Amino acid sequence: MSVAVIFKWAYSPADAQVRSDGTLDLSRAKAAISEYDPVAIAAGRQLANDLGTDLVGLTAGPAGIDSPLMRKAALSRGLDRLFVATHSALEQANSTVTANVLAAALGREPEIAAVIAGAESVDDAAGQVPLTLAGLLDWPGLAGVSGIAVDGGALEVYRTGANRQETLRLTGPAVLAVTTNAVSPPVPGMKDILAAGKKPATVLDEAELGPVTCAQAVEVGRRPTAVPRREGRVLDGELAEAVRQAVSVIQEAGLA
Amino acid sequence: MEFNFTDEQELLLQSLDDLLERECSEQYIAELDAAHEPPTAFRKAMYDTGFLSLGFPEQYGGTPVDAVTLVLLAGRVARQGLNNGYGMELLQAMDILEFGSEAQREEILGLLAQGETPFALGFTEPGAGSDSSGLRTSAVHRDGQVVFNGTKTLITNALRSRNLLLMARDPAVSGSRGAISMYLVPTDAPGITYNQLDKVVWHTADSCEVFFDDVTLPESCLVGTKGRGFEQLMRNFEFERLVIASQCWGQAECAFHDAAAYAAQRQQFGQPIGQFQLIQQKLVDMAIKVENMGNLVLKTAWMLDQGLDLRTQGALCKRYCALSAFEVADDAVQIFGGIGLTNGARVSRIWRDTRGHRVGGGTDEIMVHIAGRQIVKAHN
Ligand SMILES: Cc1cc2nc3c(=O)[nH]c(=O)nc-3n(C[C@H](O)[C@H](O)[C@H](O)COP(=O)(O)OP(=O)(O)OC[C@H]3O[C@@H](n4cnc5c(N)ncnc54)[C@H](O)[C@@H]3O)c2cc1C
Repeated sequence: MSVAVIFKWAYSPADAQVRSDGTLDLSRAKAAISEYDPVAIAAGRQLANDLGTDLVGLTAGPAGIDSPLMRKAALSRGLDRLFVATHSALEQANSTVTANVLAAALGREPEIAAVIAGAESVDDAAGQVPLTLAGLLDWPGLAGVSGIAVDGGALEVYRTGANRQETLRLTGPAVLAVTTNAVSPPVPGMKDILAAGKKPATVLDEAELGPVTCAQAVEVGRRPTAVPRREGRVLDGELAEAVRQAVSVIQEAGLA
Repeated sequence: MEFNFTDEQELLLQSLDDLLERECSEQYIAELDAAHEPPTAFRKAMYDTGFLSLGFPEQYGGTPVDAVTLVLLAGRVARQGLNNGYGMELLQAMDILEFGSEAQREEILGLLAQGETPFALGFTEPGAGSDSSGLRTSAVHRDGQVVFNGTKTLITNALRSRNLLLMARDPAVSGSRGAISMYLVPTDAPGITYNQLDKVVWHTADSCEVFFDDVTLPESCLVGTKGRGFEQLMRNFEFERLVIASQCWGQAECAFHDAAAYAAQRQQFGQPIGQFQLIQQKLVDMAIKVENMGNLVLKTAWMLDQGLDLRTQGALCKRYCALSAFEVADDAVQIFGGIGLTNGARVSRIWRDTRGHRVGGGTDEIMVHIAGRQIVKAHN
């Protein structure tokens, strides 16, 4: 039995430069674990500890995704071992293909208690992969998970909505996408980073994963949409006066 | 030659960035500076994540690490605008780990784990600054006890620390050789009094005159070998200079980025001031200095890792970085104009703090004194 965490190794948009035509220049961007995925890994670690099982990480991408830096970055965050699924179909990744490759890779893990995922990836920000994966595995898929507990061997999942707090009891494995603040991920220290280099990582390549045969939504065009201009207003004066001005600005804008 | 970081350095710096974002915001630093408080909570977080025990031997719960990595981390913390945020404790603790008794080691490591400053270094005296051989504070060993008398000055963190790492001489030994010993003295020992100095730099650390009036302690407060205090202290001096230089580098980089960002948005005469060539020239010279500081610091750290002699290099590095960091900070203040001289501007704090590094840890001139002699000797 193990708990699995899926994570994305992605270029951070924070490092991207926007060209004058609105397209993104990623040439100076560094790849890293996608922003919200450390939360998923930390939630997975907690759950694996509670269940007394291994925590296995899984990422998918084209062959170039595998690097010692990626492995250490992931394994230093508390994974016991790592699967790296590489597939040429992921050169032009979309969420359906990604979920298919992840599902094929998870087939290598005999018994999984749950697959934990982050809220959304830092680059695509669509949040589709976990739920598509759940569908492919024929498991429940739950997004917006703010907490996971173990109760008598079964998993209890908490979800907090705008006006509700749900508790759900799972009768089998599920894919759980955790909220961005479900847990506070610890910062890996030198010991974790050094230990990461010694943990096992397995590459699953296209030959092992098989072809991706699903129908695909292929991107044929992308253009930036006009982002509404953000108005900046500097409010001068004493704090109390500045607050009064801020309130009236908000009211004038019809925001309150 | 390789200028890339190793994977481990890359990941450590990422971790440190995360920690700095969470635990060491500009607001936090500015509040500490205004309240003259040390960054205890940040240090505790650094300890908990293992950063404060980097470089310590494994048997004391540490993780050995090379000097290049350590100065990268020290520079990165300083780049946040925090003075003396990283490196100095490690440096000091090395004296105790290397020369102290088991009880002294336990005491110091325990304090580090709580984010406390384990001790203040008591070296300088009213009559002995650059010329350490003029040190007069006496330590008289008698019947298993030591009696201290004398005055220390400019002692950083004396009020905040539980101990002083005190350098004192045996009055029975003439000259300096074999006369000076190192002691770990509790700051609350009877007979010690303090006069806080109101200094204009380094507000997150207090500075004091410390008076010793027949302070009597068991001889177990001796650190290492009697009469070898000076040599013990010197062992880590070159590393201290390197750590100071890396902090200067980081602080200068912080001031540079603040100034460049301000120049890009501050409008005068209908355009950003960064469009004026006089401002661009300052930014270019600042960038060159920051780049040079980084190169000098990293090369010096690499030399330390290779076990090469650092007498000249350490002094060159400390002198260049302390002086250049202050020049960069000064130009940053100039680019900010009047607002740069107010306490709300980070560059003003960096300007104050980098000034301190031109004196603390050995003055600019003493660095010339050290390196100059070596250079002439090597060419003779
Ligand atoms: C911020 C700060 C923190 C400090 N923290 C500590 C601490 O924690 N513990 C501690 O023990 N001390 C500490 N000091 C003291 C510091 O080590 C001394 O200030 C420094 O060594 C210089 O000594 P001095 O102030 O007595 O100046 P002096 O030695 O009197 O020097 C005065 C001037 O003469 C110059 N000069 C001296 N000798 C020569 C020479 N041979 N050739 C050319 N010029 C020379 C100096 O460079 C300087 O410009 C600190 C100082 C500062 C500013």
